[in-house]
Amino acid sequence: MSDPDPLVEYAVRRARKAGAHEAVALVQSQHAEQTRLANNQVSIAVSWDSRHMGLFLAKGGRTTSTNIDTPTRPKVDDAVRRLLKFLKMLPVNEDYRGIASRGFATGAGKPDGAIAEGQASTNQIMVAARDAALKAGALRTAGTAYVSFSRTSLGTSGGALLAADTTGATVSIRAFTDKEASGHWVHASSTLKGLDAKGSGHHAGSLAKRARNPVIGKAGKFDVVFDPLAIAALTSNMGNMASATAVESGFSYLGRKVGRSVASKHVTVVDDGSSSLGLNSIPFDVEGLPTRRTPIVLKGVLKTYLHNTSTATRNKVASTGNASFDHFRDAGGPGGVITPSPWNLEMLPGSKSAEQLFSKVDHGLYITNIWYTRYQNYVTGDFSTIPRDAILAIEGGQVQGPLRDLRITENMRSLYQRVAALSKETRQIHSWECETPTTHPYALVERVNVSRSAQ
Amino acid sequence: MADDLAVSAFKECARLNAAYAEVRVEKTRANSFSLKNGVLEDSASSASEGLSVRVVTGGGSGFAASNELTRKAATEAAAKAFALAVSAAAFNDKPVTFTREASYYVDYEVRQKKALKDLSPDDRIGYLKALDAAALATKVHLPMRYLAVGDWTTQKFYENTEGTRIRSTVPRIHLFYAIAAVEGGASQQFMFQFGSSGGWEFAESWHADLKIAEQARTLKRALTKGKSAPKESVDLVVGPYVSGIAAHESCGHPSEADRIMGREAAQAGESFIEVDMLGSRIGSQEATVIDDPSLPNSYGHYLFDDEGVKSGPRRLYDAGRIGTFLHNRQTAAALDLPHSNGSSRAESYADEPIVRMGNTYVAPGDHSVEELFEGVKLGVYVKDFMEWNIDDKRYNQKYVGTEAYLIKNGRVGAPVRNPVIELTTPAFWSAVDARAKDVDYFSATCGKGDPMQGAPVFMGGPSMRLRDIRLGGASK
Repeated sequence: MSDPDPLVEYAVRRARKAGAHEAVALVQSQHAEQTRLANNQVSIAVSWDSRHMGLFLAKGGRTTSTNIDTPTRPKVDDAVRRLLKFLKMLPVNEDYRGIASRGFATGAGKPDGAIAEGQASTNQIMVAARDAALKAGALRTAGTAYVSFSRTSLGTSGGALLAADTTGATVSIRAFTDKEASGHWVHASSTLKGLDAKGSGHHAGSLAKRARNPVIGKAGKFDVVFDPLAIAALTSNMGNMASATAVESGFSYLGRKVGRSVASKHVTVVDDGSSSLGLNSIPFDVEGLPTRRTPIVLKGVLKTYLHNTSTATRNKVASTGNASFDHFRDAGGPGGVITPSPWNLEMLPGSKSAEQLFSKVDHGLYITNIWYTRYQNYVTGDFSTIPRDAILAIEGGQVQGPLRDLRITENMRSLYQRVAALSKETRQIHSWECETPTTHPYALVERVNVSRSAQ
Repeated sequence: MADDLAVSAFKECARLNAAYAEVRVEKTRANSFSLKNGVLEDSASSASEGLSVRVVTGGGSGFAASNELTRKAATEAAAKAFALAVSAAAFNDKPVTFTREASYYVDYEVRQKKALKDLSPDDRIGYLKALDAAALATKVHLPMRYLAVGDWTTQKFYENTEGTRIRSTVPRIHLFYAIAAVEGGASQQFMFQFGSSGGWEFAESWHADLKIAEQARTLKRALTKGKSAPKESVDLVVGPYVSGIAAHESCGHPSEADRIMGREAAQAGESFIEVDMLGSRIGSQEATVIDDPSLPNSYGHYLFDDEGVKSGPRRLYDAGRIGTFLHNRQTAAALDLPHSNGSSRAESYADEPIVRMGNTYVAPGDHSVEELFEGVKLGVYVKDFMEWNIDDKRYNQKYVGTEAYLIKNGRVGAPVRNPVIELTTPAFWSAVDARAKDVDYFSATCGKGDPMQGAPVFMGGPSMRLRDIRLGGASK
């Protein structure tokens, strides 16, 4: 357990003394490593080291923020001066309702010692996944392995002074038996021991083997068994659209749906920033409130949006501890104080095995990955997405030969209302298409609309 | 200061006997403001900085980044990049090699007529409020409106051990908006982005107030009067925005040599184009697509790439044939080409440079837009799109129109609601039989790499006519 970086307390004190009514200072030091694989070769090995501060200030309802690389006291002094001058020129942020002033978190994070002490080799993780894929029948592989160790300190004018060490590890392996035949599988964990590199490679390689010599599929409505990698990407979208500000901005189909059915009774989706293996788990949000397990959808009914203090106050509910750290690093923005977002999503598993899901399908598809999900209308949830890697036909409950060149054209609310069964097996997914880590079972969805190119 | 950091890094690389090394040092200042339903939501400013060292040695490639701008950090990054390259080489049978390139010693800067540093928050917020007011003035019911304006200026220093040193300063500005119209319980949504490299003068040149108002009216028109697209095959006229996305997605991306050679297979995917397909037919004689990062004041502007190679126009599709690929020094070397064509870009100092587009556009034709409609008995004119996607081989693409009209006997008539263009890449480009002169460019942020890198790009082209297209995808 680490003590808070003294600089966060200093920054808050300086900001208050200079006239800010509220201040949030977050310092993160991070070391991360990555190995990238292509054509069975390590194409590059990468290392990142950074230490930065995100600083949010408010005065008289006016809000602003900035980012400071390699922060020092003089840099903080300069930023506080600059932001307070800047605040005077801004109009009041009418949606801002302050930050938390009590009920702060007490935990300190549970980092993985092996990663924290630099014992993890991304080359070894990557090669383990590659070799398992090749052993399972793949001829060519590509992928990434990533580990990170972060030390996060938080100070707020509300009184929070917290620190946590966190770790994460991910592996992504794509296997090919031919240009048109591939399988993909990923895994994410907060610990090295929890990361399934070999199993990922084996699954990807096995799918690539089954995907050999695909034929062009047909358009129509099909019962579909989705691999966790495929359906987690859509559930990740659902979680992001549960943010109260996504609803207000027109980036969500969940507006005015609290208390109403948005999915079948099989569907329960929770956000959990406190789960032990969650890739983004951390004990506190950026206001210092404890992260927690928040049911978003319970047995198909939308229970709540994700809130920080401002959005919760406007909606006359309590914060859900979702003032996330997003934006602090990348955009220098105000992060979760203004825009709440999910930490780690989880769809609760069902009672069947994955094999039992396949056996329920008479004439359908097994879709193992999706890519390039885009919305025609976020407010209605109309979207399309493209199955990639192995697409396998299911006939009479048996997984059969491979298909290609298909697209799913659907509506989010309608699709989730057709979830007919979920598997017992789950997997934590973190990928390009699934930016919020999402633990997901296999899912059987009925009558999925499938289209393909006209010419 | 950047020179000192490079000296420290190269000194360490020389001590370690690294075969090749390059250093980038960057400082970026950024501002962003957003308005949500008329209320200021976000106002942020940031100043980020850092350095990175890439080493290629012994057949391996290593990259290390730090946001600490000190000689010690530069030396450590060099040592790490070297160690990582050596560790990577241990797993490789085929060595990573680079082409030999000309050396340059260049400083360049994109000038600003209205300097971003002189703008007050009032200028930027006032700009957003004026756009919001323009949308509301249409009287279209727009309950959800999100507008964001931002700018960032990057001072970049690049130096490699082969004698190239480039300093550049490039300011960029961008505007994004999303509006949702609701009418009688139904809704339509549209998003759009403007971008340029240069000063605030470009924000004033976009006439975004007219565009957002026009889009609001279009959404209402589609909601209240839009009819379904014809089910039979029709002729299709697409506007520059649709030509641009097709140029980007189904020509630019599949022409990236790193995709073609499997380097990005893990996430961004590969390409339907294979190494031996140069010169193969991909479309009609009208299919000419160019990528040119050197376009002045474009959103994707750069004069030298992030490997110190000079940029310029590349004819990716040339009169219907695959003309050239986009290369960095590694892909060009792998194909035994003498040189890269300057397509290597990194989002920031902390990112490995990879093969990217700059500004990709369909070359103009010699028709007027009106001439494209002449002779169309039954057709659909698709001006804008909202939803789009394409598979990771860049072969099956889809664009769903937002502003679209029926064409009957050469005349543009009633609005068509959400027509779906769902075609393979050869089918799309083979169907083009005429291009207009009206080239226009649109800005976008293109995603690629792992970690994901967003690259500012232009995509564009003229209005084009495609013959005998079935809208809505295959019937079965």
